[in-house]
Amino acid sequence: MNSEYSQHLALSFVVIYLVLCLGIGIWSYYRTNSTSDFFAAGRSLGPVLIGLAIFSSTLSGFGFVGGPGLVYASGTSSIWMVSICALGFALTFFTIAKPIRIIAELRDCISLPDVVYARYKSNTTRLLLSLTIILGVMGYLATQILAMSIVLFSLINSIEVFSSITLFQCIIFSTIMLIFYCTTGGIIASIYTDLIQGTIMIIGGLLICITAINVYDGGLNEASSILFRDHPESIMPFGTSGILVCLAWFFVFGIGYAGQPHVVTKMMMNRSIRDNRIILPLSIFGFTFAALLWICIGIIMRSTVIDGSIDPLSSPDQAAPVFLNIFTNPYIAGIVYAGLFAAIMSTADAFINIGVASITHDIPKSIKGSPLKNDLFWARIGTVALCTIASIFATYSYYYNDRLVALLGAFGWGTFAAAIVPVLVIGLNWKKATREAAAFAIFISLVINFSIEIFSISIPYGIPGSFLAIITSITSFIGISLATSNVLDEDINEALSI
Amino acid sequence: MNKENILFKCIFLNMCIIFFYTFKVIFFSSDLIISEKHDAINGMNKALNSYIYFNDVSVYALTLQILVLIFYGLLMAVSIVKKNNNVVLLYITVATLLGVINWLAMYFSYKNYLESSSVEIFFGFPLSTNFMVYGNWLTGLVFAFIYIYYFNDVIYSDEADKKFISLIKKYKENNE
Repeated sequence: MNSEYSQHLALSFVVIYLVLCLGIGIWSYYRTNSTSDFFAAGRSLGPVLIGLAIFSSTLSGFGFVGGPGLVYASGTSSIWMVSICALGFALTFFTIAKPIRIIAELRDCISLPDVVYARYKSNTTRLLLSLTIILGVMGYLATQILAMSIVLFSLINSIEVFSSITLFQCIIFSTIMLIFYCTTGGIIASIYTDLIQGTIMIIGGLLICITAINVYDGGLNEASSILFRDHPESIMPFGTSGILVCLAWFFVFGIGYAGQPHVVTKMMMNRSIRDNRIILPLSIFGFTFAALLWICIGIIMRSTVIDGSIDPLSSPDQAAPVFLNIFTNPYIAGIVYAGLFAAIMSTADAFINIGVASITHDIPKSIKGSPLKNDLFWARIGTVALCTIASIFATYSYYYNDRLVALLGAFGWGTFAAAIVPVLVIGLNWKKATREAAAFAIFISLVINFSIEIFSISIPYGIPGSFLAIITSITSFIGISLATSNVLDEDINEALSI
Repeated sequence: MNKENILFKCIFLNMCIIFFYTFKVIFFSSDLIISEKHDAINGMNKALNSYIYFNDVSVYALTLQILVLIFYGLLMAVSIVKKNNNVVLLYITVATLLGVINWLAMYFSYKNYLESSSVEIFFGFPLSTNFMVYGNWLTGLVFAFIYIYYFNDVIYSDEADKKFISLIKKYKENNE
């Protein structure tokens, strides 16, 4: 089959998927009657939905595109980010899943800052957390819009009929799609898209793994031997980034699962606490299958470029698209492309959801004690505003200043982890944790992460700044809690004892 | 002093060691370059000075990873310590030890490679990389198994469910 036919096929799958998305959006619109439905799906979702939603929103479009690109660029270093998944999920379920669900139902919380307020009785902490979420969401969202536009652009650009379409037009189209999908469906649409994405990633991961193993007669062993002969460190456990970077990633990504607001919020949406027993293994196995994409594509692309089978890539992020075009059956490639769009859209929706909750619900509550009147209406208006601002950021960053999204993107995984982990993981398991400690931990994590990015501070041995931010925020959180005193509401005291 | 307080003091001590040791390593670091662009292929990187770099940071790396694994184990232990189930606490300790053993195996097999420059590839990777890919994942799986198997005993029992329902009822009555 020729390349243009494959592109047509991939585009057809993406178009079918986008039409499906519109359908999900409209269907979810009729299921969304209140802000609780819009932000927390009315705490009515079953274990399979939540299990798949948790793992797929953790991996997002980055797992499809960025992950294989990292392996292509740096060898095995980035595999530390995914081999920690079982430990990270287990830690999150042990420490957070139960108390957050109990507090959410007890106090009728619809957002993470609501839970944090219930635990610490502090509007300052709620406000700081809301601001952290908005800053992080803006970076993540701009990245998702840009990723969606670039993939769409690369898909249609090689087809003659669409060759005059520009990237800017793709950004506008992607933003309109997201706005329609998110304003109508809220979190319910996101969860159901996660279901599609999760299923595709599990099946795709398995099929891609089989494809990758069959690229060489000797399978993955032969690919590893090629990498070893070219540059041994690239296939040794710490890759080309070095031991300290890998260990820092192990820590940041391991504990970081418990600090991702779009992941943790989903733990407030299941219909029963007992479902966690099913959700945990589903999340781990789903993630594991999807991680096969990350590992196999990256290693095969690096080895095939090194042995001269294919030309060097124009950028590491091309690893997955080139692999799909060259080695994969076009039907499987089409399905995986649709999965990529599902990943981007559901993650964008989840981020928009928590960002809008912060703007229309949490910040007004922190400042004037109550959310905006008619908050479902304002949530939808907020969604339009947030998408529009993020797409302007994405466009401006792509054409004029590539540090803008990078700066906000620095408020990604590591910043969320540094700000949220001590407040939740320790705070929900230790009654002596205090509001002063929570506010300081969030504040110091923002200061450290922002300073490192703004002043371009280079840390020796390439240690990531988020690692320093997390160890500082956790240490200061416990230290300040030991030095200050705490008052808990009676119901929260009882909830934390369950 | 109850078990919960002891565990939290251990967590604090653990984090303090990680915190101060990390900053000591950063402030007294050498200017060693550890990575650069691949000679022939654009977009790929390669490691530099691996042997010197490993010798520079090996004690810190060995200690850091052991402390991080203990930290994870302590956090999981503290989340169930109020249930007073020593068997599950013991299993969490064993799982943590398995993680530490896996790390030691990875560390020393990598050190052995640096000294001998020879490796054997099986299951898709060199031995030390197998400990990273499969060992790290399996360690997490042991913790997940403990969570699932002992869910009714230490995470959410029938008694806890009754307490939760009565708490909700009491809170709603008080607010009406």
